[in-house]
Amino acid sequence: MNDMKANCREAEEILRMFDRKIKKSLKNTNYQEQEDLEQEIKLKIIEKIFTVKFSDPPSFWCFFKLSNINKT
Amino acid sequence: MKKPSANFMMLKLIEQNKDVIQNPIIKSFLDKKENYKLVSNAISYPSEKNKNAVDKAFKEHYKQIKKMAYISNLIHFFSIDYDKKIRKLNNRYTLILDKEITDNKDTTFKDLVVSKPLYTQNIFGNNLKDHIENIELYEALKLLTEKQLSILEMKFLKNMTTKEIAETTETTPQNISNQFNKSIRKLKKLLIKKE
Repeated sequence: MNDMKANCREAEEILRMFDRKIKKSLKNTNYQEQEDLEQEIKLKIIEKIFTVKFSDPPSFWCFFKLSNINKT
Repeated sequence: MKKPSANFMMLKLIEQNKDVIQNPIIKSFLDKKENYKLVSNAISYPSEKNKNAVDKAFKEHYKQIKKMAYISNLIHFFSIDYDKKIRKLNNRYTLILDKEITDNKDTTFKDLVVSKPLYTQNIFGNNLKDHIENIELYEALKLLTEKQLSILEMKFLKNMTTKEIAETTETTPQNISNQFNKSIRKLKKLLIKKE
């Protein structure tokens, strides 16, 4: 339940953040379709936020060669 | 033995891992002050707890960036795909009726449309007489020859042109025109006489 709420808030935030980008991408289609496209994009984003699971990120430390530092 | 300062350790770490620091995701992570602090803390006091704190912050950061990139890409490609889809549909279900069908230049789309007769013709019958309400006109029509009647029928009921009527009855348009005018004159005469 809490997760759901967090997702909703996140979706709102993301839609606000990407508003300009969405508006810009509308130019990819002709004028009559733009309103429809805007709605479709927003729906898609919301859908993806709720469904897509991002793969587990790597650990921060695996990027660094730490052994040398620890020795000193 | 004096423990080297956190700042010194940090610089050393950066020095030793120059190429890693150039990695945009690491760079943007360390650009945030609180993250930098966490890392330097974990280096000078490398306890499990400190390291985990860095990891947690980093994972959050990484996930966030991944998500943003994903959505940014989604918007871009979705809009292009959408446009393609719409174009395809418009192409397939075009509204141009007299456009030629590709492999046959003589036929157009409107030739393929089935035209149903108007419902009035079905309700009232196919004869011209069936459509007449005026009794005097009805009586007058009875006095026309069969040929004249059929010409009037085609002209008024089926909305055919003189040329089309000539083609179906296999005569000349002039003949049809003459017959038509003759029958109209006859009707006029009959109706005026009645009054």
